[in-house]
Amino acid sequence: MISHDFQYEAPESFDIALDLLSSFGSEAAVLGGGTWLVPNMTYGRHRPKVVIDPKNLPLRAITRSGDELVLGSRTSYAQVIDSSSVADGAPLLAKMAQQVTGGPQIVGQGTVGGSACYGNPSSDVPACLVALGARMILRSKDGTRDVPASGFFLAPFVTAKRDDELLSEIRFPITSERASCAYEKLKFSTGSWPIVTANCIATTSVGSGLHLKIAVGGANETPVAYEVVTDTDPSEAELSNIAQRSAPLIEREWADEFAGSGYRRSVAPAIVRRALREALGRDRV
Amino acid sequence: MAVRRDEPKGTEAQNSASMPLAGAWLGRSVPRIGGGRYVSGGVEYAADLVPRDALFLRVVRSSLAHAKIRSIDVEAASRFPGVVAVITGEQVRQISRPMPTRVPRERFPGYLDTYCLAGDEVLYVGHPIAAVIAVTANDAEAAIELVKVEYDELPAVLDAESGLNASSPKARSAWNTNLVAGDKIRQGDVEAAFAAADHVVRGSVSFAPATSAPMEPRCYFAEWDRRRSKLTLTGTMQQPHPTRWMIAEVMSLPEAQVRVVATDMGGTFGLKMVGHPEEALVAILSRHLNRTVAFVESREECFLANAREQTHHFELAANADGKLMAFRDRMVADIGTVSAVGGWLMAMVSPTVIPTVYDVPNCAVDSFLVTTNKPPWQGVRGYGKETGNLAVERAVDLMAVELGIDPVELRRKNLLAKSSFPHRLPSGHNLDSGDYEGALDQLLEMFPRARWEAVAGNETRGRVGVGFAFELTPEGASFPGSMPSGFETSTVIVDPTGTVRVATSVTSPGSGNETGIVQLVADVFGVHTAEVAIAQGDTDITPIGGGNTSSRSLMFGGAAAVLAARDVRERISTYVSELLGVGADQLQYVAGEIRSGDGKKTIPFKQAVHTIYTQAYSAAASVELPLQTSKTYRASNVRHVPDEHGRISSYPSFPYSVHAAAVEVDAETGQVRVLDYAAIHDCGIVVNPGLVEGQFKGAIVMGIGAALWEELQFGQDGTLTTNRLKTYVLPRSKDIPPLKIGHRCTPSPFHPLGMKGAGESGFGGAIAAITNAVANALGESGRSLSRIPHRPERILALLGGAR
Repeated sequence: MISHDFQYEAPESFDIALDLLSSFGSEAAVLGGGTWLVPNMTYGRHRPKVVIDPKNLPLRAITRSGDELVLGSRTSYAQVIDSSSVADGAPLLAKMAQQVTGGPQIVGQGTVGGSACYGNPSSDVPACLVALGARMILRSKDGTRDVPASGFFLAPFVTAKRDDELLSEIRFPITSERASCAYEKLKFSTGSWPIVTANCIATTSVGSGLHLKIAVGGANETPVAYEVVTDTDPSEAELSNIAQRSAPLIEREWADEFAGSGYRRSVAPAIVRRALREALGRDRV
Repeated sequence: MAVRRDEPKGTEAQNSASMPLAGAWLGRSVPRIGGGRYVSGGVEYAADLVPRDALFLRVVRSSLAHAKIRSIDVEAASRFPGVVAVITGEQVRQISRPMPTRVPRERFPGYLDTYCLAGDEVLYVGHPIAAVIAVTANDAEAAIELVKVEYDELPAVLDAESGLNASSPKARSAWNTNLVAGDKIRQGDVEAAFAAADHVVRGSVSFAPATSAPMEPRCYFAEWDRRRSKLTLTGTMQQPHPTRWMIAEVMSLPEAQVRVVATDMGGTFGLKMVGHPEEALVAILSRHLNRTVAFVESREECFLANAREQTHHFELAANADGKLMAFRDRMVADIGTVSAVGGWLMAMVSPTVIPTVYDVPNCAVDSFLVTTNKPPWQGVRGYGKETGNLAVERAVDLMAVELGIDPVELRRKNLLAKSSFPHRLPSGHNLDSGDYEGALDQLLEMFPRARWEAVAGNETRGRVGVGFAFELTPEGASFPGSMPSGFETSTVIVDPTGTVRVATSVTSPGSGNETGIVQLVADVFGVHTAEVAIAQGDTDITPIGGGNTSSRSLMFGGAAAVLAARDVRERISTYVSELLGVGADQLQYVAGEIRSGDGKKTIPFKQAVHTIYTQAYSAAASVELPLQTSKTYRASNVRHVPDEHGRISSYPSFPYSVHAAAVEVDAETGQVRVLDYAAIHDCGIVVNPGLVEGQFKGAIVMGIGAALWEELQFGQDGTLTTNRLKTYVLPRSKDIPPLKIGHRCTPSPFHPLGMKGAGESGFGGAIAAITNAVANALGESGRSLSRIPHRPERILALLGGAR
């Protein structure tokens, strides 16, 4: 149960919301889907003085804007899964959302923006946003900032979003029609956190070989990402080499109740290799 | 599902003489009474029933593993809005008595303080220190952090093996040892057998602490009726009569002034046995405050139920031809803090199953139960039997590897023969019956072993392994000195309309045993099950007994109901015999009628009952009234008098099962996936196959969870870190392959209906089969597999060692 008293606000405009954030700062919490905030308040781990529910703000739309896909920060996993715009413009995002742990409650309630702002190393979302080259649009009374996902996740549960800022939308460059993508996740059982995730976007361009964009989640305190250009039809040995390059990037390895230090770093290349193979349409072995 | 009935010679006549087995309901999968309510959200659980005017109690718990309490300042908490009272251990000592323990107090190595709140010493992180009672649970919860406790920290014991050292700090200041109890079981000449053996294998297995994690946590509310000086305690209690006794002792009230009502339950698996401090707290404080007081356990608190942590170091000796000759085991259990609950007794049961289903002439088992500064053990399915079984099953597999013999054939060679029962185990247990080899053959018909072994040979990233395991599951615990020591009672009433009422001391944890008991009673009277009502869980209505523990509900409560129903039937037969001019023993109760043997003379059952109630001075003058009897069932295979080896036997019933599992170990991640599973279960005569199969499958799933995922983890300071369902991970449906289940029926010659306990069986066999399958998948390095659950990081390390 939530044992402390708090103020609940559902502002009717951005101005009011941003005023609240400005005056309460770190003592305010913004409610996304509530799948993190509510349990953390229940367990007494987070005791905000004010909870700002942006349900009255227009933050749930999925739109195409020129060569970008724009996701309102309150877009739920279920919306992402159902959206043809996402399927066309950022198919990796849909693949990730389809693998989110939890039943209809989590998929229907949980939001992409909420997960991003929580910055949990064990979440599906952060590395996926990094792989997709997403930009986080942060609004405050001082104006609007545009922060790349690669610079958004700073430390476990710490992001570049200031206390007075509201994540309003996430913008994705449209994934090339020539690209194929894969989302591979290691988790120990249906109910477990992601242990290591691997996102891969493979793009073939005539004359310039195969361009691979790889982002690994869960293994490090923050997502790690790298890009590789290789032959259009890389050998298995080459794929293993590419996958192996993920391990030294895991400099601040994440450890928890499921696996202690050393484990995630040692299995990350295997998960990356599986993602690479899937993206290249090769059979699972 | 096929049930094979294979009755040993001699028992068939015995059974049919005492009970006609060809009843209309026995053996039928009658849908569970109230099942629809459970699956459609129609059940009112205890927390749904808390009265509107109840005060809520929350518990202030120790933040240190071991400390003296210097002071408790409740001033600020008492002034918090909504708070009605803050009660400390000191006040509890003025208004109540200690909670009685599950075993006599003289069995402990020193004074045991069992008041429901800590006195001047806290013994684990989470130890109840004070109770905050407020108008709402939220107010109480919020006030908890205003209670300021000052401690003088003491060294904590957090490891059992080092706790055994004489120089170790003591987990409890009043005791000069951490060794609470132990056992020394001997049979044959173990030293000589090891010296003479051709082969000896050694191994170890350690179990992480684990818990029951039922869907519904605990909940109690107590209502003190000042005018009648009567307390009613309602809630999640699987042992209402022992709880009433406990409350009567704690509050210095006669039992007549205490009513305990157990509500419909959302699972317990042993958690909701008697002796939790909050059971007593709400009762004491309801009287003290003259208000209704409720406690609803949080999920975090539910994870404080500790159990199972132990290590076995074992050795097995065999001749060159594979005959097992000797088994030796040293077991050290970390039983956490000793309290009023009896969960720690599970560690006394573990060694008693050895050497389970195998004929091993020489055995030596030494067990050491060590108290530490972790939470107390609470009962959990398996009740210790799973660990002894696993030690034996690992040893047998290691020996098979050593000898290069097929593990199935090594088992077959050493199984106790069907003709060797009753069979005395080294612990003194008297095995009732079994057909182990028959069950093994039945399993091999069902499990596609060859197919999986063919896959295992393929070079893929997944390594496939196949594992087998037997489980011997002593059931019907009847410990001397415990309250009560193992009997159950049922009352059967035939009411004037001819409908039947049963009131029984056994309770249902949500498993459906009430349906089985109704089937048994319906058969005695030849009536439809819809004509039989059953009451459980209310001490004002039900007769005295232990409740729901040790798979006893049908075996004891059902048997008692049959004995009582037969007694009532005899009374009815007295009248009908005179009416029809047919010998009472010739009468048949079938399809709502009472008939002569040749079927020519009949009277409707209801008409006979009506006449008996209305013609008490004429037609039914010789019938004893009312049509109501209570009978207790006491198992005939329990022996509390030591035998020539100085051993007693507290378990009357020995169901068993045999399991086969195929698993895939991911060679790159160490992750284990269960590919296939089959098991054969034998609990003697089965009343309701559907319910038994449901329990058996549930036990297997729980065993797979315990083998692969479930682990309570404590930090360096003794704080539990896995206190959510996100960190203590339970299996979900997608994690479990379809389970193939077969049944066998080897009736117990010691039970009037040939039944054995069902409900716990399957749990230990599943842990062992999965473990053996994982070891098999790992090949040579599988010999070193020694920690349950099989965490991927440990498996990956073993795989690395094999490279």
